[in-house]
Amino acid sequence: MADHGRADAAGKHILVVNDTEEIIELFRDIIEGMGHRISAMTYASEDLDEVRRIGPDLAILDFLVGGEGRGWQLVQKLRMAPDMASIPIIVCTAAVTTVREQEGWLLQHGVKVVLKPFSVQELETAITKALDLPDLLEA
Amino acid sequence: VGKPAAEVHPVSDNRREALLLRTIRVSALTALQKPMSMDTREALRDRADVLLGDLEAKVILDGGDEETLAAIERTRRDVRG
Repeated sequence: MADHGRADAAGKHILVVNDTEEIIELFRDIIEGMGHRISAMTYASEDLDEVRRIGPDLAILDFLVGGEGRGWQLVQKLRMAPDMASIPIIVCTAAVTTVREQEGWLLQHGVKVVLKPFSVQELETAITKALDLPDLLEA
Repeated sequence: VGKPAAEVHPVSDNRREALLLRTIRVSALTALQKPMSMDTREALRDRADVLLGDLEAKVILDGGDEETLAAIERTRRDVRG
């Protein structure tokens, strides 16, 4: 099983999946400001081996960028891969209706949601909470 | 050691406020560029209004920097289209 470095008390490694450079730069400033490390990946390279290589402590995905379907597919792929199923996931989305429809599945699989637009505090709180619950799926 | 608080805090507060505004602006405007239902679009705009209102109140409490307040108003207009 991959070691995602969760035991480290210092900064965590956070993967941001997004196709918009402006969003990635924004996440970079917020995440690095919190003392964490960021890796960015686009939906064009949604290969799980890339996620495996990065070995993030947390993944943040955007459901609207690249199409909602692709975002869902990546979340489901991550949850189905035994060595990555316990990586905390935050989904950033404006798709309120989709989130409501999928609420049960999201809760069951420990996927947190940050609605767009969001404030810095909302994102920081979600990141902190997600990193505090690394073994949610194993509980 | 270091500068007195009065010299340091306004700078860091301004940087934080700039990040707060940029976050709302970028997360709202990039989302609005994507196809979505009218209801979702309206909900997104309403949510942006609330966040911008909260930030505006904070900026006013911190002394009401005119440049930041003008930037908030510009963002409000851009989000409303």
